[in-house]
Formats: sequence, C-alpha cells, structure tokens
Amino acid sequence: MTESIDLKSLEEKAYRSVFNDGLWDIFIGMLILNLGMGPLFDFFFGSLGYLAIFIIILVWNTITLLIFILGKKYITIPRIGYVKFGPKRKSKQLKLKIFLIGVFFVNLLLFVLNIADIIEYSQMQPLLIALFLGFGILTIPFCIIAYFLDFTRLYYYAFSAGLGFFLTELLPPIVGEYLDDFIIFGVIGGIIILIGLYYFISFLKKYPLSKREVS
Amino acid sequence: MIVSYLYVVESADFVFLRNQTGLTDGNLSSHLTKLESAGYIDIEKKFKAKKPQTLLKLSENGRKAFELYQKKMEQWRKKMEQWGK
Repeated sequence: MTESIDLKSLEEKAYRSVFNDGLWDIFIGMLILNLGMGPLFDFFFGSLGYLAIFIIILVWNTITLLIFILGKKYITIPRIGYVKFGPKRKSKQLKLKIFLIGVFFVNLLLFVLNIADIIEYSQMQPLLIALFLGFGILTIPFCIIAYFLDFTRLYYYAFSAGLGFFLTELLPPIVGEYLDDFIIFGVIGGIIILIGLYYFISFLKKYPLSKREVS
Repeated sequence: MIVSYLYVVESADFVFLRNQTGLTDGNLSSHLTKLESAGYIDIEKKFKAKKPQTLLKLSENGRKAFELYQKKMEQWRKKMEQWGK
C-alpha cells in the first residue's frame, strides 16, 4: 500500500453511498409532483374551501414524508448499515434542519398571505413573476439543500423545478389553467421519481439484506 | 482500509463497514478481532429485533496510531519521490 489514503474522498464516498438508494429522488419528485396536483385539487375540491385543499395537500406531503422516513428505516439502513458521521457532517445537517424549518414557515406565511393573489395584481410581467417565483421559491432553496446534503443530483432537480415554474406561464393558452401546472410538474416530478426508482431497484440488487447482522 | 473508514466516521456498524470495504463476513470479523486485541477499536455487540448488531468505533489509541501511520507513510512517500529524482 504505497499510495497515501485520501481521507476526504473516502468520507465522501461513504457519505454518498447513503444516497444511492434513490429515496431522496423519490421524495423530491413527489414534492414537485405535488406542485402540479395543487391546482387539480383546487379544481375538484375547490368548493370545499381552502382549508380542505390545504388538508389534502398536507396529507399528500405527509404520505411523501412517511415513504421517505420508513424507506430509510426499514429498507436502506438494514441493507447499507448504520453509520454516524463526524462533527463536520453533523453541523451541516443541523444547519439543514434549521433551514428547512425556516422554509416551512416561509411557505406557510406565503400560503396565509395568499401571495398568488397579491402577485396577480402587481404590475410585473407574468413571465418575470414566474421566473422570480420559480427560482426564488424552488431553485434556490433546493440548491441550498443540495449544498448541505452534498447531494449533486438535487442541483439538476432544483433548476428543472425552477424552469418548470417559468414554463407553466407558457402553457395555459394551449392546455388551460388547471392542466398547465399538472403537465409541467407532473413530467418533471415523474422523471425524478423514475430516476429514484431506478436507483432504488439498483440499490436493492446491490445491497441484499444481511442474514447474519442487522443495522 | 477498515481503520481508514472508521477514522472518517464517528462510529459504524458491521454491515456498513462490510459494504464499504467489500470484505466477506469472516474476513472482516477476523480483522476486527485483531484490531480489538491491539486496542485500536472498540466493539459493542447488542441485539436488535433478536438479531446481532455490532457497533464499531476507533479508540483514542487507534486514532493516534492511524495518524502516526499516515504521517510516516507521507514521509516515506516523499523520500521515495526524492530518490526517484
């Protein structure tokens, strides 16, 4: 063994192996898909009021989160093993958690203020608004999450989601107002979920359950 | 390689280490036993859902020994480079 060991690469390799299960991709894909489902929920359940739609979206997001958490606990960790990373990673994860809590409250505030109506009455061009919202609400937060997680694929998903938001302004004349979001975010979310499923199936084949040990 | 992986994490279990190193169960167990005898790693065995779980952590002695090894390897590598010139 004559080469010096690159500890940084080793740690990164170990860390990134946790993302090979595809669950993060499926999780992000379902969240993006939810963006497309929102207007459809509004179309079908709008008569029940905003609270009902909010509850439906909350249930969908809860199911998405449960798939992720339970998948990690019962599928990934038993196969890949349990690991506690060092202080540097822990610090990044703590910062991520704080950031996510902040994002949650900002989104809640935007929902309560009904920002969509406020923006609708603004003087800005709709395409510019969509560009601003897409990159502000989707791309930048996802990129920050990607940085904290060291999850490279999320940068691409972040830009796709932001671009998708922009593209939803171009579709309404063609497909109507309720289907534009569903098509764009359905396609983007669907592709990401398929990528996640590909990684998930590859992961299951590469890491069979250990009969001897458990994690 | 086993010690390298344990050096870059706080702790890991047997399954994780086996997946990262690519060693077989028997091979890994054998190495871990030797490392534990030398006082370089701490092994904690417990049961989870009636199956054994082995948690591994590099001891203080293990960390110091690895750092010393890294330092000496680096010095040796530099000497070899100089001789090569």
